[in-house]
Amino acid sequence: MNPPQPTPSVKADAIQKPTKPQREKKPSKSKPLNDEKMDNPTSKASTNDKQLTEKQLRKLEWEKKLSEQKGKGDIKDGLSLSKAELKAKRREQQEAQRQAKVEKDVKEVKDKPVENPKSLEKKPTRMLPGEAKKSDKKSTVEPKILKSKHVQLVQHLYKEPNPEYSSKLVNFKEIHPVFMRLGVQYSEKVILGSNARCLALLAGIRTLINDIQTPSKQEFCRYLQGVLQNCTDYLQECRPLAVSMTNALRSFKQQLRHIETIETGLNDNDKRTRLIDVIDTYIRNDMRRAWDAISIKVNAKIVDGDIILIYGCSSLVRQILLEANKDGKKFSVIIVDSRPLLEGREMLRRLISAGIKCSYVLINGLSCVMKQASKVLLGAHALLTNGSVMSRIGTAQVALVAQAYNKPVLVCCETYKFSERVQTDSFVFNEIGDSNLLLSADTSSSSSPLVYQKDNPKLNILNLLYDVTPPDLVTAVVTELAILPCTSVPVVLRINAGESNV
Amino acid sequence: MSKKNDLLAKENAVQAILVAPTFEDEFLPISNDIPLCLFPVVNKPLIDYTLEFLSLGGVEETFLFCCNHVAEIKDHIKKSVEETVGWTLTMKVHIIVSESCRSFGDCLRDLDAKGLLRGDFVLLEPGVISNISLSSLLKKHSDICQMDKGAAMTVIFQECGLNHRSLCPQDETLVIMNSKNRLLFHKKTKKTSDKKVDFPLEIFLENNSVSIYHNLKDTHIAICSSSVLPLFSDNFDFQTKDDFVRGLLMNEEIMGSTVYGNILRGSNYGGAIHNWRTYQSISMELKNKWVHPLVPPTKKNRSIYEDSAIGTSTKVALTANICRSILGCNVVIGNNVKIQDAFIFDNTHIEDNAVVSLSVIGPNCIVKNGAKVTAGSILGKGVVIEENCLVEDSLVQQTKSDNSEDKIGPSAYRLRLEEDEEDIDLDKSLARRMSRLHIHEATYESEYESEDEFSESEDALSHIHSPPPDDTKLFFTEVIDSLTRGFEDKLLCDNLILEINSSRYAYNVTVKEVNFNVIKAILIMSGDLPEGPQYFSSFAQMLSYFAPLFNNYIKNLSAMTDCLQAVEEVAISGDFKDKWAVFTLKYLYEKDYLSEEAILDWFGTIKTDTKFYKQVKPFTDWLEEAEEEDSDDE
Amino acid sequence: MTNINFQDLSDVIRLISDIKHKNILSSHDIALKTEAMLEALIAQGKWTSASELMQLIKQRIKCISQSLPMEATAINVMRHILKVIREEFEVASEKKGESQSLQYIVTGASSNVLDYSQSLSSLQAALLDHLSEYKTELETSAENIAAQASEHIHSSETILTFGTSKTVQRFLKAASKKRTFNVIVVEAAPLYLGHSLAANLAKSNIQTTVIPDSAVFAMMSRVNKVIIGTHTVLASGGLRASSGIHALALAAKHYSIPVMVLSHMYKFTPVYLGSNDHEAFNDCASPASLIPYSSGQVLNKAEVTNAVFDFVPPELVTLFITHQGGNSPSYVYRLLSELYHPDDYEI
Repeated sequence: MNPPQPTPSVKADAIQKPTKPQREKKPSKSKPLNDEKMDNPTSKASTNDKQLTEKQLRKLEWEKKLSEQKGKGDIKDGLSLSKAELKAKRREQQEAQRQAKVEKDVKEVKDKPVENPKSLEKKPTRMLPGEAKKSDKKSTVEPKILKSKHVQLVQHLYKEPNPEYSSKLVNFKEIHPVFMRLGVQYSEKVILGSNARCLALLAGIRTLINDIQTPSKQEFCRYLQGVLQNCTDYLQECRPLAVSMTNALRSFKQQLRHIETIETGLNDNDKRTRLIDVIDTYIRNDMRRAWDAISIKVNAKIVDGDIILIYGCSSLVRQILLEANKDGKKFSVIIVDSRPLLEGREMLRRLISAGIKCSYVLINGLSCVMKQASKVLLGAHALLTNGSVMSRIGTAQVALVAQAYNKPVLVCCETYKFSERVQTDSFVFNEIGDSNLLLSADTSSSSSPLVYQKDNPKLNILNLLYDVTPPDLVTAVVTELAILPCTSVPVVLRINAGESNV
Repeated sequence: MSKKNDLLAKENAVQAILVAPTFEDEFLPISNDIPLCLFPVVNKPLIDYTLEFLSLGGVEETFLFCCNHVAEIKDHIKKSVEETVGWTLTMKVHIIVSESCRSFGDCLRDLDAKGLLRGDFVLLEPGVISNISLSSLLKKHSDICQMDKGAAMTVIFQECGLNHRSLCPQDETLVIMNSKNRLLFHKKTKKTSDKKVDFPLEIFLENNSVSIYHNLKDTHIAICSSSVLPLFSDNFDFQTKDDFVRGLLMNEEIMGSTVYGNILRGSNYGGAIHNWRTYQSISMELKNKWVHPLVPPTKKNRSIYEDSAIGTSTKVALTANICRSILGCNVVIGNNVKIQDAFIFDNTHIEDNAVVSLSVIGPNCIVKNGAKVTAGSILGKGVVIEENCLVEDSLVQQTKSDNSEDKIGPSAYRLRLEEDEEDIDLDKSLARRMSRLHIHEATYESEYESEDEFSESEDALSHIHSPPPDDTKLFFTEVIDSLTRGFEDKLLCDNLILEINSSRYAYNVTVKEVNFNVIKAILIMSGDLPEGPQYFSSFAQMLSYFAPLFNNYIKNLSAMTDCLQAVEEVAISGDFKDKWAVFTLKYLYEKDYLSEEAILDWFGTIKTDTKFYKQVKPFTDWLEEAEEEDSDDE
Repeated sequence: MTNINFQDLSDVIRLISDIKHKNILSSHDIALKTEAMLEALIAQGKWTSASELMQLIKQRIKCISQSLPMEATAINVMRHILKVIREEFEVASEKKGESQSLQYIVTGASSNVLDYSQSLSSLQAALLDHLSEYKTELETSAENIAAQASEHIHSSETILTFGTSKTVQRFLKAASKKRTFNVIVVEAAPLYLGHSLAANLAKSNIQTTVIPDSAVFAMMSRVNKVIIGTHTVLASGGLRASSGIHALALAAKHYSIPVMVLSHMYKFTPVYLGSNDHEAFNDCASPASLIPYSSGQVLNKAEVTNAVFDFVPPELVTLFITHQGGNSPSYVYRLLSELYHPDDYEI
């Protein structure tokens, strides 16, 4: 019926512009530069050496400047260059510049304490002593680390890319292609949310079990265990495993060992079916049934006229709301969203298409809408033994404001997400997202001023993924077993552990 | 000193042209008494928003063009100046009156004659509400003019998701721009029944990269160079801005002028009220602050009604139910009144138990106890709806006039809708259908529950009150047209087949319907043949002429059934001679278009008590006999 | 009469249109412009007595509060000048001694209503004098606030700030001359003003970290101080500040971290407002900055609110830092009575 299909905007690049060979010149020039510099910090033996390198450095810098100017000239006469190329080039230049600068800073700080250790306090120094030391230390150990900017507070959370994986990423033999794909999907945040990630993992294991061929003279389960370990190591590398995933894995491994040790009489195919059965049971009992149970429990608490405030896009909360809507309850929902993931928009779309009345705010408007809310429903990434709730960053803030307005906060969490870990603040364990996501917004027409400062070593952009809500901000946790106070987590863990041991 | 300053400032003051009247009868009958620019939009006259937008945008001089209700508009402007309303501080408004103008283009030609404009200016079509900062756009336009001397106009579009309520189908635009934002192609996709778009090949040959946009809505705002007005004067066929853009794009070389486009993103908002649907969507958007900093007057206490706004000193009974509606000032709402998706203007009384939905009720109306006003009704000024009266999908005005159809009360006369049966002007009726108040989907949730196929449910919704022109029907009329023409001009039947097939694809008609309609068309044409003894021979002649068509379309058993159904329908509906049906069937049978089997099968489905059955019976009897004979032979 | 007044109002109209058209953005500039406007008004001398002058100023205040209901700075400056006029008049008419007597306090208004309509020749000069003093005060105010930076920021502390504020930026830069510390800037969606502050701080070599609004609670545990600017300071000591600051202040309270509010005197407003959703308190900006207009379908039914301000109750604020030094919220009432005459609180 509709005329042409609505194509939002199609760009047709008719002619690919030719590239000048000159372009290649620049990178090749900066390459040796980099190498030399990387060598530089390791040669910290004597001051003589240092001076030498300093001279070298200056020389290099001068060279670089020259080449830069050349580069500028190139840009002028090379109007035909495509934008992407220019950008890549610029980035390369900046990279080199930055490296040179950091190098210099390190040197300065290194030199200074030797000359006049007290001057640090009095004279305005460019860098924090702590930071300097850290980068100093790092630079001696692993010069590569200087490349990426790290926020000092969460230094421990950055992980160095494992060279083993990054080099062989394309063709890695021990890893089943399903897991390769999963790894990319996890790290690109295509699969997001701990339930979805766990389901995807279990589905992956199932494919693995189906596809695996035991080499002769190897026991099926033991071999599988080895392969699985490799795969999960790889996944861990792509993005740290969620608590839900580790729990599911643990339970699966337990069953695997059980089958291996006790049911020795089975052949490979029987084991396969048994193991697949194990996975299906896990999905059915620990996940789906738990969702249904929680949904029923929370639904009992939703009454007509409720205004429910939710945060982000928890799959469990969504199920609860959709079910309550199906039951014919008249309630409305306030969706609180936050940058940079903006998952709430997806939630909004889904709830609206289900016919639920929704309003939408960003987390900064939280205080203005909290007064209207009658309940706060939150999802969780994990529930820790000390009663803290680990969840999408911002959840703690929602709980805090809810408490200030005396609104009940219900956290919905399946018991398979309970963890034995303890954590008192958000820094002990966390994940760091891509900081570039914060630089752009689809709602503003102008670009952020940060873009130009992106390579300033003094500027960091921190995009944490999770935060930890202290137990006193949570009214109750709804699990499939019961509605509990947060502090009952160890009890549940004990019971569950006891059950699985029996 | 200060005067000199004033003069200096005036020299390079930013100027704007605002054309007030729409020159269309979209807003009848309310527009008889209130000009569009004084329509209350969330309890503030439309023009106040427009002028505030202009003054905030940095415009210092505005030419307001009026054709009717001049006195009221003048009074309003005068009052605003006296009360020193926001915009009066930084902007001068000149009212230009010309009652002879009949179109937007006429107004601009008139202005050109007056020679009031000095440089680049802002051109607004009627009913614009926006919050764009014009100064940056003016700057951009003058930059463009530096590069391209022929740049005449920058048209402002807003990025807007499809199926958004404010994207009036008529505003849906398909635009192609090159990398410098020069407009290469511009088409309002839904203004006509045309469902296909042809892009000139040159667009792709002459440009390295082009962008095609279909998610845009026209904001009805344009930045114009001084050459625009002379261009309007030179081309008397330019009636609207769209004409202008189209004309310039078509004759770019001849006129030496180019049009540029600018797409608004972020919190920039632009739109114009030009029919009831946009009136509704812009009112709602204004209320929800999308046009910030332009905001409707706020009342101190928050409205407790769902998604509604209520004017000052309006009294609403506690038991009344109001949602998604806007009530003017001094409105009185009685007990148990239900108001949904409605707009109620000032000083209106809605008495107890009345129901108002999807309607606009003009000022000073009275809707009496238990009356119902629903489904896109518009009540003019001072209409009184009597008790328990039902008004549905009609325009009602207070006094009798030439085109009023019937009387529903002492001061309520229903207006005849434009779309009379005789002249189905397709484009017009389409436009009218799309300009109605937009139904809030929630009302129809249960009927159209589809999570993903938004567009479908949307389409279905807009079909609610006037069914869409039936595609098959259109196809049928087209087939008849080409067949009669072909028969008269003795065209080759193969060409006719081609023609029919192409219209078949245009209307997306199924094979079955094609078969049915083609046969039906041929048979219906037989009604035009001269009566008399020669009738059947000329009929046979005609049928033989169309033989290639029969061969082409009746190829299998199911096609035969379609054919037979066509015969049946024509025979029943038309007043033909008794023998007509038998003759036709016999002819078709003898020429082997129809098989015996098909005829007998079909005959079994006809109700035995009809006249048609009796007519055909002898023929089938004969067939059966023949068959028996055949089998006997065996 | 009205016509003449309208003519006279052209200066304030220019001010309003400048603010509306965003020609002057920062509150500091608004204050300076307002002061200049008043100076011109007094210097032109189209008034014969103090009461007439006060009438003229009150007219301007009304004009601004009508067309810019959220604008406090200009009104506060004018309100302060009203008090200055009263004082100067008292001095000029040599009734000052009397006004301070116990008699005055006990008997109140009756015996002491000053007749401001009296024309005094010395008044104009005295006022102009005072105004130029006030002008220098305005100009140095930011400097004075910044001068206190080293008292509040210490070495290797972590300071958290929200959005952008010229005063805060200056304060931090001043502190960076003497100390090294970390700054965490909350980006303050949907306007992302934090980005420009962070960019400026990083340019002047301060270690800066940008975080999204959602990470405020998580980061708060590592923060030593919260230093923010505000839109206005209300009479109760509460704040009308950019939305998001209430949650931030709550988080600071949760971790017992001091919240310091940098404010110029002209931000102190003698108005009591105490809630977030009061129509007069808050302003809703376009939802388009939360969710793009091009989202289509969804927007037909969703209600999207984009409140501009948050109310921060006084108990969440630790300290106000003005050019005169630090004060706790409970002392704001006293600052107000120093700034404005009680008769001018409501105009």
